[in-house]
Amino acid sequence: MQLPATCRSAHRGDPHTRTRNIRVATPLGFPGVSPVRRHATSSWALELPEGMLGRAVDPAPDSPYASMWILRGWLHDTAPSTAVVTTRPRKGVTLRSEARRLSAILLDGPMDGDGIDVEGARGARRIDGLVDLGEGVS
Amino acid sequence: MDRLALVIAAGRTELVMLSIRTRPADEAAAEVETAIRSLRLDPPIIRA
Repeated sequence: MQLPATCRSAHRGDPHTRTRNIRVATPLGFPGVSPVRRHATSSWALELPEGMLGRAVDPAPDSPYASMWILRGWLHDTAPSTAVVTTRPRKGVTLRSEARRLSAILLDGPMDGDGIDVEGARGARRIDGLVDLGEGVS
Repeated sequence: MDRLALVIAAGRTELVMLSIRTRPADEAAAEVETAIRSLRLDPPIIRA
């Protein structure tokens, strides 16, 4: 299948990276969760409800990220949602410090987050919080 | 006010960051959890 130019070029430095979008009939874990669709690149894979749609986009020229994937839609058919997956080369920054940087936008301020298991990862942390993006931004 | 879940995961050569933002809605929490638990790094390539 020929991918759109934005998908072909979304992973800088690797023009042959293929992005995939595969429907998966059975969601993991929770009963009553909507059917999911699998989104994947050579770096990561993720399953999201079918109500979430999106694709790879080119990061801005001044972006620190090498690739970016944005999906928008609805979770549970009721909650407007946005999912973003970004990647960048590892450069020796600790996960805790990266967590503090990314969580600076949360109302509770920067935090280290908690360690979680992610298959295939050499380590992972998770942060949960509330964010106020302001009127007119969604 | 939106709820934001962030995951930062170190792959073999890349750092992968996932963020899921939703309006606060308890009914969406299970789907956020399902999505986060489905995250895999360096997945095997599926050839069609």
